[in-house]
Amino acid sequence: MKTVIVDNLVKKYGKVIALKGISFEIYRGEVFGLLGPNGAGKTTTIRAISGALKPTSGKIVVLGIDVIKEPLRVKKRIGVVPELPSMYPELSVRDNLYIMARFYDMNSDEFRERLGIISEQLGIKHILGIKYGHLSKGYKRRVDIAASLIHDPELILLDEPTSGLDVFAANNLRKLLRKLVSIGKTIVLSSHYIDEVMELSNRVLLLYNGVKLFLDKPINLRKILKLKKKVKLYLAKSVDRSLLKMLEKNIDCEDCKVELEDERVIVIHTDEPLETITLAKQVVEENNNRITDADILPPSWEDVFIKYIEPLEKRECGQCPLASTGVCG
Amino acid sequence: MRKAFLIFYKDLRQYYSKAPVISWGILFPLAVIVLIAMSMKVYGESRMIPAMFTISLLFASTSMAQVSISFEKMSGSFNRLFYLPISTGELLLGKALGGFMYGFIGSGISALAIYIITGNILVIKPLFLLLGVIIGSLIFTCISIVITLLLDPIPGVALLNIVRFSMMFLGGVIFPSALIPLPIRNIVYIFPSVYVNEMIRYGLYNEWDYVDPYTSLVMSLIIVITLTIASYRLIHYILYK
Repeated sequence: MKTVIVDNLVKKYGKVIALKGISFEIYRGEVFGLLGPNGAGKTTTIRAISGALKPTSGKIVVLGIDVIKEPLRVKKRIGVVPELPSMYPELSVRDNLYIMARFYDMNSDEFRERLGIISEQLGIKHILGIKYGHLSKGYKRRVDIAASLIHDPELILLDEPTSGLDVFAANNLRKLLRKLVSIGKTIVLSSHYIDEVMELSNRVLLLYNGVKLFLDKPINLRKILKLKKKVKLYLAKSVDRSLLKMLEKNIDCEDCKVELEDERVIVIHTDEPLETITLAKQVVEENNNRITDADILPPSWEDVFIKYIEPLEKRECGQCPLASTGVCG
Repeated sequence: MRKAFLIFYKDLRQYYSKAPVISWGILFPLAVIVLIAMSMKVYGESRMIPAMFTISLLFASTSMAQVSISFEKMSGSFNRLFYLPISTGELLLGKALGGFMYGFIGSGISALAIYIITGNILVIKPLFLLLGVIIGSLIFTCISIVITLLLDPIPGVALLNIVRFSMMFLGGVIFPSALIPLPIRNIVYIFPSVYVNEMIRYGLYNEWDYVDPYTSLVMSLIIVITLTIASYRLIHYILYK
């Protein structure tokens, strides 16, 4: 069952075209990831789906309702977590959430019941009496999320939800998102944290410059791009420039990259990690240094992103696997 | 309507005690009232007491809407309103109610100050006084909403202050027409304050100076309708742009 249908969505801000006719569908109970660099059109897409923005052209249907014709009906049934903290600093967390609940026509009993559930799930029970303005960034984020969930919406749109959260809170939120999906909620997740989108999303829409670059399961993107693995070498002493040059010279393969991550950590992108480690060991020892530890890491989602986006931003269209989309004009 | 009151209630709890509201909405008009009281003998009671009302109304009404919108724009909570199931009309009404209420509080403070200074408050035509206060606070609130929505908070405050002081000194509130040179006198009619002030003056003393009270009423209604439409369209544009 389709929860969201976006058909040929165009949004212009004066001469700037934020969305250039994107189309996609989101199914009930899925986590739909939105990825892209700043200015790709992620927030515009979220605002358009939520009825907070009128598209220049195109059609959006959410939960069977035409968003452009009836935005208020849609807004009643969805929850949105905006990118920035957005509650009222002088009011307590409880009062903020109560006001939000009242906007959704909830009565006091309904509010109390939902508040109990949400505050438990998001770990905000102990801060309900504190003013929003006195909270840390992480707690403010949790309250923002609580405000968007208070009316038990069917579709939840999250714009950078874990931004500012500590690891523990971010993990709790991920667990909550999984739980929401398990009870049939649909989630649209826009995030700069590529691993987070990779881990949580059933499908990913990669946007660049208002154009749809990719829409599929995250795993398929990795397959298409055949990304290199990463070898991380931890050294006993600080690395000098001559060692990096020697490694680059000796590890001779196409597109292999040697990077200095920290003063004692080197990262090498390679197809043959074990051979690379053996070779690197010799080179490092010749340079009067020593490898104390080594990690072999799979290609990260960030690498996927770099492979897609960087060539486009540098206008190196020939190197981008998706230049055929016409985005690199 | 209920959601508009919800916005009003939230604004009241959040912003009524904010320093700019207290200083511009209450303390500054009070200081002006004291100054006017001290110069009462220069222009006469029937000019200065309506001026006290109008200035209180002007500063009180413009402060609340300006502070509530500016603070929300700066904190990001104004964006939250876009995602809530609120219509443009409800949002406008919610924001206007705060300014409207503060306008009434300002008028009340004026009335109290006048009572303390003169020992009595003479109201000859209470309907005109009431219309002046109601329409005046609506006009000033809408002016504040339009400026605050159009501009960023800091330039917004700067422009609002220019508008406020222009209305106070050039808007037919303090200085009588006889004292204003003819070419400059025409500028007075641009400002809504002259029409509001004339209605209040007519209500209190059965007198008028620049514009007769019925023309003032018609002009005030035209201005309030125009500003309400402008505010509505602006909020609608911002909500769905």
